[in-house]
Amino acid sequence: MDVALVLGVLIGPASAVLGALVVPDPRRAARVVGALLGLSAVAATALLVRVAADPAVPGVLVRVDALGPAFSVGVRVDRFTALFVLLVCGLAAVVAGYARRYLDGEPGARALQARVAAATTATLVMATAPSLVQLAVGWIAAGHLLVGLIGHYRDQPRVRAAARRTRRLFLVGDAALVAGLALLVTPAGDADLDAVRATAGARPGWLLATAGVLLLVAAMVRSAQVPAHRWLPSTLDAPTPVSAFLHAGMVNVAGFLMITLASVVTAAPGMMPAMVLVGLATAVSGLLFAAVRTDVKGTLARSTVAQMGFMLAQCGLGAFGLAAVHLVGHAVYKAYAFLSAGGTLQAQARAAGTPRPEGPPPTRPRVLAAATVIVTVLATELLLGTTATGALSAALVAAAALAAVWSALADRALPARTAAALTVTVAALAGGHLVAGRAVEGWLALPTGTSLLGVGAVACVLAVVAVAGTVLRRRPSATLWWWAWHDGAAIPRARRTAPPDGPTPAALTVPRPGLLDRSDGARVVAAATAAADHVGAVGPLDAFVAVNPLAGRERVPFARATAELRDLAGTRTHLPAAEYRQRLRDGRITPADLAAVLPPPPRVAGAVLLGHRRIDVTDLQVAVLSQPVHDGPPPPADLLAVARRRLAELPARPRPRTPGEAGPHTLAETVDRALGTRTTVDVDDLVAAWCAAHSGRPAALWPVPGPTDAGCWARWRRMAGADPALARWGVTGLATLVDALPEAPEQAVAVLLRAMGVPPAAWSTYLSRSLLRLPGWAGHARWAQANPGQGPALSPLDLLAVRLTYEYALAGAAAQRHLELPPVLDSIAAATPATLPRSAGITPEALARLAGALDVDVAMLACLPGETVATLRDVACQLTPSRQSEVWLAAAEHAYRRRLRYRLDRGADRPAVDAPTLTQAVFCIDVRSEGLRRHLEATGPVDTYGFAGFFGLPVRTVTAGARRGRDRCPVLMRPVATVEAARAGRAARSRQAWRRAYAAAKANPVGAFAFVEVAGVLATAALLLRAAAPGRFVPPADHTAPTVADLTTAMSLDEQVYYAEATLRTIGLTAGFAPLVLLCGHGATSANNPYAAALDCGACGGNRGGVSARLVAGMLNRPEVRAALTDRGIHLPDGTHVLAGEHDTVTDEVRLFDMDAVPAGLRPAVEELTGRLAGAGARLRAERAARLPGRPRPRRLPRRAGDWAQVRPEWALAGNAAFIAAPRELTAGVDLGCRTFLHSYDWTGDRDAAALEAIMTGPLVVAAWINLQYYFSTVDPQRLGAGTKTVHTVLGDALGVLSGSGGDLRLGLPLQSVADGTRPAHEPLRLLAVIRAPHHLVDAVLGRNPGLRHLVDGGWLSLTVVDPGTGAWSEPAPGGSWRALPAPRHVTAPTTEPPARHPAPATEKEYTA
Amino acid sequence: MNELGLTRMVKVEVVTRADDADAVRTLLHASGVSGWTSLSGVSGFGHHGTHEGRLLFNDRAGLVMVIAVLPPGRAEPVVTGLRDILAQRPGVMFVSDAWVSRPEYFGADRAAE
Repeated sequence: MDVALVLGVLIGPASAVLGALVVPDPRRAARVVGALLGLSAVAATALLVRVAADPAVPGVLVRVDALGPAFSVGVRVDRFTALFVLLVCGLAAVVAGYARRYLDGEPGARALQARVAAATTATLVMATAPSLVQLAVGWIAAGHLLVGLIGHYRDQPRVRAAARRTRRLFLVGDAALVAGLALLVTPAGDADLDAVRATAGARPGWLLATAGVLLLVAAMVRSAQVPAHRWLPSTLDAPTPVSAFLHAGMVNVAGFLMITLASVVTAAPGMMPAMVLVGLATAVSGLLFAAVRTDVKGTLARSTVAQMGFMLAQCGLGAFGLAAVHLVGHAVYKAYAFLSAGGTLQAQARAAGTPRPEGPPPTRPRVLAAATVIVTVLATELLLGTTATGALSAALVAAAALAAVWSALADRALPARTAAALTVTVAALAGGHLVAGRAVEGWLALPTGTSLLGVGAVACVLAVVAVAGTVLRRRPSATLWWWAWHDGAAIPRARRTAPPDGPTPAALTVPRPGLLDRSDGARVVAAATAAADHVGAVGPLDAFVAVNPLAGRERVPFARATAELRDLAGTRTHLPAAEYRQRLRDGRITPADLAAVLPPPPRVAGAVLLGHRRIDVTDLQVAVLSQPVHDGPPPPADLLAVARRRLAELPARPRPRTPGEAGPHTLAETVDRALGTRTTVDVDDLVAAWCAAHSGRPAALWPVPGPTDAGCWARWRRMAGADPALARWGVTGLATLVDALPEAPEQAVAVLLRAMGVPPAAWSTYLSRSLLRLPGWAGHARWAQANPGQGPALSPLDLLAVRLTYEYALAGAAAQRHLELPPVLDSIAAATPATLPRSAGITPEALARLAGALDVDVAMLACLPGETVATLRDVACQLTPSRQSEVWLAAAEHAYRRRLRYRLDRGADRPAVDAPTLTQAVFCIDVRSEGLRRHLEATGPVDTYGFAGFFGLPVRTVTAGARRGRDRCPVLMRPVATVEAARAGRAARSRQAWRRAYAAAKANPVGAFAFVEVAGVLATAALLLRAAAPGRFVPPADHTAPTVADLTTAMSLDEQVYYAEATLRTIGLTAGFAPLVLLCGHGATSANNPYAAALDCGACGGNRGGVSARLVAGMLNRPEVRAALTDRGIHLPDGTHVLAGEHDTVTDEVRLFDMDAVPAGLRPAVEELTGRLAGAGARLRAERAARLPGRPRPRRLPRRAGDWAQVRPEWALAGNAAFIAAPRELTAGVDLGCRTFLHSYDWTGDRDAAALEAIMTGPLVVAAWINLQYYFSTVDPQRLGAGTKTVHTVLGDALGVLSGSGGDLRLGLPLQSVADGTRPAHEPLRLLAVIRAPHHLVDAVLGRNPGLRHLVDGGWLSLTVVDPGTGAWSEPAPGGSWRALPAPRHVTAPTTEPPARHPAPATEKEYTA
Repeated sequence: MNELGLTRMVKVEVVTRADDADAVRTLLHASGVSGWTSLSGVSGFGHHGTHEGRLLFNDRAGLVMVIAVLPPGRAEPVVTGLRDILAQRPGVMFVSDAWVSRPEYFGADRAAE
C-alpha cells in the first residue's frame, strides 16, 4: 500500500502531462492538470503522514544489472523525501491552478501546463529514486524541462538567448553530476542509494573528494550558486507562475541532493569547508545583488540566490536538518512572494496614502520591545538546549525580530495596544520558530555534525555583512554598486585589453565643448521639446491616467502624426489590413462602408476594360483592399513572369516616400547598418537599465549612489566612469569622455550632436528617433519634468544626454575598431555599402496577385493595353499597406456610425412609466455606466443622467500625515483645494506598523535568512486558502476618505456653491428634483493587479469615484449650500436628499454611503432603490459575462475581484467607440453595448454654449484620450501598449512596470485589457462624438477653442451633430460648413450592439507579430 | 534712460498654450535666465481665433504669458530657442527693450563674464 501511495503521487503529475496534451479544450485541459496535481498533493500528504509513523518506505519495481553497475528502479521514501515530495506536489498544484486563470486564453498555456506537470514528474522521480541512476535521470530531465519553461516566450530574442545560455550551463552541471555519481558506485558495482551511503565512509579520500567536488559543481549550477547564478534572473522573462515554480521548487533540487548524499559529502575531505565557502560567498553576493534592485521580481530572484547560498552553507556546517527546514520554508515563502508580486503596487499606493510615522521615534517602547524579543529568544534557546547551530539560528531570528519591532514602533503616534500586540506577536513568532525548527530537525533525523569553529566563522561573516550594510549605505562605493547591479558579472581583464577574436579597445575621441555655438544649448532645448511631442506622458501606475500617446502631436492631423511615428520608430499605428478583411467577410464592415470612404481614384479614367468586362476604378480599389495584393501568397510563376514584363514596359513612376526618409539615422543605427552589429539595442538596454536604477531607487535597499536631489544626468556623470561593463564593447576612457562633457544636459547633448556631425536642422529628428527607442522612459521623463518633486528627477534632456553619451561611446568604439573612422555620421554612412533603392511603384508579385484577384489570366495580362496595366499599377500603388489600413479604419468607423445611428433613429424600447420619479441617479460618463443605467431604468421610475465621475469637484484628498495625496479630477484639470482627512488614520497607522515590521524583517541583511522560514509557515496558510477559495480574499475597502466636514475646512462656502451650481447646470438638473438624487461614482476591486487604477474612474484621476460622490453629495445636502443655490435659481427642496454611491465595475454591486444621514421618511425609498440597483447589477453581470472570455457564469463574476490570479477582472473600457452629449431621451432604452460615453446635455438652457463648451473641452477630450489610449494599445500592444501582464514586475515606488528582466518602462494598457489571448478584443476606432445641439452652438464652441478644432479637423475624433429639431445628422465640412449625413437605408447588423470581440482567429500571427 | 540710473535690458514676452509653457520655462532656465513671470488665464484673439481665459473642466487649453527680462548678451540663444519652439506650435513672442534699476537681479554680471 505504501508503494501504491508513492506511485499514486507519481502518477498524478504524469497523467497531468497526458491530460494537458490530449484534452482538446485548453481551458478544460488546464482544469484537468490542476485537479490531477491537486490529487497528487493530497496523496503526498497521506504519504507524509504514513512516513511519520514508519520512517522509510522502500519499493523496488525493477532491479537492473545488465547495464554494468546494478541499480534499482522504483521508489524510496524517507521523512525528508516525503516532505520534499509534498513540497513539490503542493507547489505544482498551486502553480497549475494559478496558471489556469492567469494564462487563460494564451496560446502557449497548454504547453506550459504540460511542462510544469512533466517537470514535477521528473523531480519526483529524482526525489524518490532508490538508485543513483534514477536520480540522475530525474535530475537531467527536470533540468531540460526547466529550460523549456524559461523559454516559454521564445519569440523574444532575449528569452531565446537566456534559454540557450541556461541549457549550456545545465549541460555542464549534468555532466558533473553524472561523473560524480559514477564515482560513487560501490566497488561491488551497486548503484543503489542505500549501498552508496553505507559504503561512503570506507571509500578512498581522493575518490570521495573528486566525487564531492563534481556534485558540488552540479549543485552550484542548479541552485544558482556564485558564479553559476546568472541564469536565475533570466527566469523572470517567463510568466509569473513559472518564476514561482522555478524559484520555489526547482532550484531546491541541489539542496535535496546534498542532504540526500549527506553521508558522502561529510566523508569527503575538504567538502564541508568548500560548501561553507561557496554558500557564504553566494549568500553575501546575493544580498548585494538584491539590495541594488529596484523591481520586485528582480529583487526576489536575487534573494533566491542569497537564500540558496545560505542553505548550502548550512549543509557545509553539517546542519542538514536546519538546511531542510530552510529549504521548505524558503520555497513556500518564495512561491507566495512571486505569485503575489503584482499586489506590490497596490500596497505601495496604500502605504503612500496612509500617515507617515510620527517622529522622533519613541525610545522606551522600542527598548522594551527589543528586550522582550531578546529575552524570549534567549530563554527559548536555553530551554531547548543550546547547540552551535541552534545559537546561530537564534541569532538570526533575533536579528529579524529586532529589526521588525524597531521599525514598527518608530511611530510616536502608534496606539499602545498595537505596539504591545506587535511586540508579543513578533516575540512569539521568534520563539515559536526556534521550537518548531528544532522539532522538525529532530523529526527529520538527518545527519548533524557541526563544528563550533565553522559556526563561529559563519556568524562572523554574517555579522560583518550586517555592519558592512550600514557602512555602505553611508559611504557607498560606485564600483561595488556597479558590480552588484551587473549581478557580479565578471568583466575579464583580457577583454579589456586585446581579445584575439573580440573587439579591440579604442580610446574614445573626446569632443571639445569649446566648438559650441552660443545658441546651441537653447536649440537643443527646442529640439528636445519637439522630439518629446512624439511620446505621451507616462505617470505613476497607482493613479493610472489615460493619455493619448501622441498628445503632443495633436496639432497635426492624425494621418500625418501616425505616419511620422511609423517612419521614426517603426511603430504600428493601425490594425493590419488582414484584420479588416476578416471583418468584411464577417459582415461587420459592408462593401458600402468601404465604398463610402475610398480615396479619390489615382487616374482620371473612370473604368478599365479587362477582356469583355468593364471594371470601374473604384471596384479596382475595392479589389486591392479586399485581397492581400501586397502581402499575399506567392502568385503562379507564369503570371508573375508576365507581370514582371508588363511592369518593365511602363514608364517609371515617381518613387514614393519610404520609411527612413523622415531624417537621419542615429549614429548607432548607422554603425549597425555598416557592420551588422546590434549597437542600437545595446544602447537601449544600457539606458533602460540606468533609468530603472535611477528612477526606481526608492524601492532599493541600497539605491544607486548620489545626492538625493541629483537629476538623472548629474547622477550618471558621477557614476558612469566606474562602470566596468562597457569594456565588453571595447570601450575605454568613458570616464574621460564623461568628465569632458558639460554638466548641463542640453550643453552635453549639443556637444555630442556636433561631435557626431548632426546638422542643427536635423537635431529635432535625431532626438525624436533617439527618444522613440524607449518611449516608456521618454514618456516618464516628460511626466517627471512636469511634476517636479514627485519622485526621482528625470527629464527628456537628461535621458538624451545619457543616451547620446552611451551611443557615442559604443558606436564610436565600433567605428574606430572596425572601420578606423571617427564617430561621425557622414564618414560612417559613406563607408556603408549602398543599399539598392526601393523599386518605384509596386512589385511584380503585387500586380500578379491583383490580376489573379480580378480573374485576369496569363494570356489576358499579356494582351492588356499599357494604359490598363498602368491603371492597375497606379491603383495598387495608391493603396500601399499603410494607406489601406487608413482606408479600412475609416470604413470600420463608418460601419460603427451607421449601426449606432440606426439604433438611435429606431428609438427607445423603454416602456413608459407612469409612476412618479423615485430617484434621479447621476452616473459617471464612463462606458460601463451605460449598462447599469439601462438596466436600472428598466426596473421602474428612475431617471438617469451622465456626468464626469468627479461630479465637478476638482480636489486633492490626503490623509493627515500621509506622504502622497490623490488628485480626484480629470487629467486636464488641477485640483483647486486639498481636502485633508483629519480623522482617518488611527487604524491605518496600526496597519502600517504591521507592514513595517514585515518589511524590516525581510530587509534585514542577516535576519532575512530566518525571516523566510517564519514567513514560509504563514505563506503556507495563505497559499492553501487562496488555492482553495481564490475569490474570497477581496482587498479591504479604503476607510481613509475625507468627509464633507473636511471639505468645509478646505473650501469656502462660495467655492462650494460655485462648483455645485456648475455641476447641476452642466448636467441640466436644475429643477424638478425627485425625493432621492443619487450620485453614483465607480471603481473596480481587483487583487494582485498593478493596473488596478486603470479600471477605476478616469474622471477621478484613476481613483475610485465613491469619494468624490460622497463629498459632492454631502456638499449638496448642506443647508448653507442649498440656500445659496436657491438664490442662484436652483431650488433643492427640503424633501430631496442627495445620496452617494459607488458602482463596483467588477462585481456590479452598488454600495451606498452615509446611510445614517438619510432622513427617516426616505428610508423606504432608499430600500427600494437598493433593490432596484441590485436587480440592475445582476442583469448587467449577465450581460458582461457573455462578453468575457470563456463566458463564465454571471454569479462567478464577483469572485474575480479577489482572485489573485485574475489578469482580466473586467473588460473596463474596451470597446469604447462613441461619446454622446444629449438628453437621455435620445439614448434611453437603446442597448449601446457598454461602448458609449453618455453625457447629459440639454441645449435649451445653454444659450451661450457655456455648458456645451465645458463638455466639449473637458469630458469629450478626456474620453478621446481614453479612446486613443485603447486604440494605440490595441494596434501595437508591444510598443504602444504594456505587452502581456504575465511577465510584469513592479518597479520603484509605484512607478510602473517592466517586462521580465528589464527593458523599457511599459506604457499604455496591458495586452489582457485589449485582447483575448492574442486576438484584439477592443475594436480600435477613433471616438465618434455625437452632440445633440444646434449647429451654431457647436460652431461657437469650436470657434472659441482652437485646440478642440485641431482635434476635430485633424481626425483625432469624429464629430457629428444631431439637429434637435429634425434629428438630421451632419458632420463638419471644409470652410466651416456642415455636411448632411444620409440616414442608413438598410442595416443587417443586430439591433443590439455586438460585443467588441472578434471570434475568428484568421490573422493571429500577423496581429501579434 | 541712462541718466535715470537705469540699465538697458531685453524683455521677452511669450504667449503660448499652458501645455507648452513648461518648454518655454525649461529653455529660459537652460539659457541661464535668472527669473521670469508667468501669467495664466490669458485671453485674446489671434491666428487661431478667440482664446478664452479659463475653461470649466480644462486647465491645459488656456494660454499662459511668460515674461523674462535678460541682459542683451543672453538674448540671442533665448530668441533662437524660442523661435525653434514656436515654429511647431501656436504662440507668439515679443522682444523689446526694457530698463531696469538693478541689473544684477537679471544676471547682468554673469552675462558679462
